[in-house]
Amino acid sequence: MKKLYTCFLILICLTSWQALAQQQHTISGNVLDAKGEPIAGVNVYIKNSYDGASTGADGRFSFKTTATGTQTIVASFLGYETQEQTITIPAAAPTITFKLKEKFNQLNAVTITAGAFEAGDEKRSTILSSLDIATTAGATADIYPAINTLPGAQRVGEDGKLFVRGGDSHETQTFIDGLKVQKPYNSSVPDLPARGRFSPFMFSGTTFSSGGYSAEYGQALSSALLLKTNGLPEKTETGISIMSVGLGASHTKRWENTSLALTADYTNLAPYTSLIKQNIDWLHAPESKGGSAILRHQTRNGGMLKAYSSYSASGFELNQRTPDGSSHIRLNNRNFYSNATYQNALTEKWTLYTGLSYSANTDVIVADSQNIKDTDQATQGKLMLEHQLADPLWLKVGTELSARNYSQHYSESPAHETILADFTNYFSAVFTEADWYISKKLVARVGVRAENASALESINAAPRISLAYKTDAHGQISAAYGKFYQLPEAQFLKITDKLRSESATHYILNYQRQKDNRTFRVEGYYKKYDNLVKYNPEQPYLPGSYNNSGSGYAQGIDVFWRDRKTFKYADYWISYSLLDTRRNYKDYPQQAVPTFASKHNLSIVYKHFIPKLQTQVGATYSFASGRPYHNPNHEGFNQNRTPTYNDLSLNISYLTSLRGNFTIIYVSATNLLGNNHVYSYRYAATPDEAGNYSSLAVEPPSRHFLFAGVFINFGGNGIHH
Amino acid sequence: MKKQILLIVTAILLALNTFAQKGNYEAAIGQNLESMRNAKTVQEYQQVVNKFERIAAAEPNEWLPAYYATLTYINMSDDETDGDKKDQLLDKAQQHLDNAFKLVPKESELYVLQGYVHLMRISVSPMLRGMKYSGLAIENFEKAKALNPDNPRAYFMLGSTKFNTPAMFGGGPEAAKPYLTTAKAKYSQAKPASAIAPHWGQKAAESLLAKCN
Repeated sequence: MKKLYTCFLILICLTSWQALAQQQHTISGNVLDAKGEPIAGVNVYIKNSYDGASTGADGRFSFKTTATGTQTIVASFLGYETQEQTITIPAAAPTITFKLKEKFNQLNAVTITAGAFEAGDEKRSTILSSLDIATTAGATADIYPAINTLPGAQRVGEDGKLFVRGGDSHETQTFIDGLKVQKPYNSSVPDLPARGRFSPFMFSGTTFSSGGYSAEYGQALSSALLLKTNGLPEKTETGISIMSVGLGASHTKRWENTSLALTADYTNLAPYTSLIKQNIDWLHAPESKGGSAILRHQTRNGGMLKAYSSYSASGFELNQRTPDGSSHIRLNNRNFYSNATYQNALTEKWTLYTGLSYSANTDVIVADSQNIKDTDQATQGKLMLEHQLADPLWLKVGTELSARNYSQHYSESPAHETILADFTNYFSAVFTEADWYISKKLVARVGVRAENASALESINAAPRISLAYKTDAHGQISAAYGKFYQLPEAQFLKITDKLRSESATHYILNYQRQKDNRTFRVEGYYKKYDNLVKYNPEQPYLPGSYNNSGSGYAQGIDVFWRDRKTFKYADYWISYSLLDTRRNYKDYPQQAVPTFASKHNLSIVYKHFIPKLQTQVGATYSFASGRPYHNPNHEGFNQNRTPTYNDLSLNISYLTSLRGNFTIIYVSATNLLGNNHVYSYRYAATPDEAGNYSSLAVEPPSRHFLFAGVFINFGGNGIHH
Repeated sequence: MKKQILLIVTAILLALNTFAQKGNYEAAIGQNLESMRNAKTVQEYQQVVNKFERIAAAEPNEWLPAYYATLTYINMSDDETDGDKKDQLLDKAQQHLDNAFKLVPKESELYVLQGYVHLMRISVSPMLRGMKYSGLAIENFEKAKALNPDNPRAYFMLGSTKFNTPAMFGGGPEAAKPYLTTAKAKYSQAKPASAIAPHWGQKAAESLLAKCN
């Protein structure tokens, strides 16, 4: 009995202890932001218990708890730093106040937009996506003509390359995953436009910077095109393309953490050139064979390894009309390009980035009696560390080493001795840059880059500064200043090592407004060129005739408007550039507007999707005012202007399924208005009997470029919305 | 003897106590699921998700609180119109889902939600994301089906994805119908492991099936 009694007593004690524990206390208070405004919806609770509540519209909370003693109260909400407070229950103070700090988040923070057009596939606020590039009419799925529809870029039809803000084409460099590409374009000869080597579908992000870019990038006076390759593909698939200009095949195999893609392509313009009237007398229409391998591997600790290799062999032969008659030209090119990059977060605050690239390019050109063999090999290594020093302060430090060997063998038949001109350059650079978010509205990027080139024995230090300020939820002002250096072109370095780097200084002011799928941008800039290479055209083979006395400037305004909202299923953008530039470089006798610069450039790109037909129709209209050319029959230099350039291009892509496989049928045509495009005029070397230099217009290879293709994807059960 | 009884009594009381807590856990989730069903405004959803987050933080070995936090964030993202905010909510959903995956990596229901999160990502920018995320979503629904062939939600989500895909890409009501029919049958046979085990989707599946006829 006694035992039972004891038990009963214990039971009562325990139960009453529980009852005591169940006694409820009220915890209440409020949650404010940094400005003292209440925040609604904040989760306030006692750590490791269910007891808690959400704040109301007035930022107040109140809940009951059975917990006692020292307890931790947590306040957490999306977009804010979680905060904890220790209290004793029953509480001495009647209410608890939390002041939450907004979590730093690049999504809603200000970004630097001066000079940069960012295009990614994931971010909603981007201006152009890879798909946009591939489906821009007139671009024929080539990256460079699509970039040409953005403000700041010039249309130079006979060249096909990217000319930015009064800069020559070699002043724009292409970078793949942070590594510079030595030969981003197919080999060509003067007056035949070159095409980009890389398919736009390789990339998931494109940033076109028309000036003022990061200290991470160098050796580009005017512009940097940053291409970011795709990550792991979603699934195993096979693709076949049948085009009016050739065939292509690809196969991608996806394992758990690894993928391998192989591609092969063959292009031959012979059937096309025989069907469409050509301005060129082709002896052998352009033909190329190529292949590539892309490896992706995600390591266990979250690192990403990317490796890419491609090889192509191409060539053509033609009789080119010249003012003096005709010239026989043959070109053969072999190109190998390979890169590998690895990126991994070392710790929560440190990220490592490394990369290695190698390229080898050989061009053999036979022009009448001249034989030229160019070989160009380059290796580049890069190492970069990113460190989050504090919440809003990011630091980047890195180094870059590269070696380049260029040689040119020149001979004249019959049986002249071979002249060799070559150079080897070892290049090294270090850079550091800090992104400091002074507030959510104000960011500063300060960087410096030091470079040394063995071929020139000179060290340059290039400072770069950018600022951006968010004026309201949708608008922001951005400004950039930077100094940019670039080695003189190979054609000069092969002759002399007594040159210095060419330099440019950029000043940029930008305003951008983005709201509801509409983007408006206006950017003004001033760019000053110094130390441009000049030479005496009478003695081009004498090292002594080269110097760095050239200079120039470019200034202008770029305007961009994109609207994906106003018209249903439609998307359009308008770019306009006003350019004022003059320079004295190369063999110019005086400062003049260069031949590649037109004062006004306008592009209107329109895309319309018709869901009923599963068809996208695209049209691009481009206008460029006349460009200068030198007419030796008149006084002055670069004094004449070509007619204005007008082009309307159209493309249609029809999405369908062929025996259950996703298929695109694509047709495109340029110059629908049938305008006569004259890019420039070439003049005879010597005057005729009447003392006149006869001339010849430089025109595109054909009046229209027509392209048709079928792309079939065998990819299992992939479904596309 | 006294000691022994004392020990037994204490043991019983401790067991009772744990049981009570367990009951408390299930009751708390059950109650909050009721609030979720009745939630209409953003504030109401926020309260629901906050409570699931509290339970998830207090019960680090249970996957259901994280599962339901994910589901609530998915629902919230559906009501949100701003793309960036949609992404933020889905990031939060993914965070909870990742936590749940750590506890039960082979749970079919989690793959259903993973696919669901991917599907919701598409609506932010269908043109740019459609291809990638619809592929990922289907991959996850298929995995959910493989892990538990009796999970009706795997069939419902596959059917719903098919339903919203144009016929020429292998979608449309006809392609969706077999999935939804299977889903309906599986729903009627389904025996949730507990009152708070996932059991959503039956009505929606049936009304979508009705649209296929």
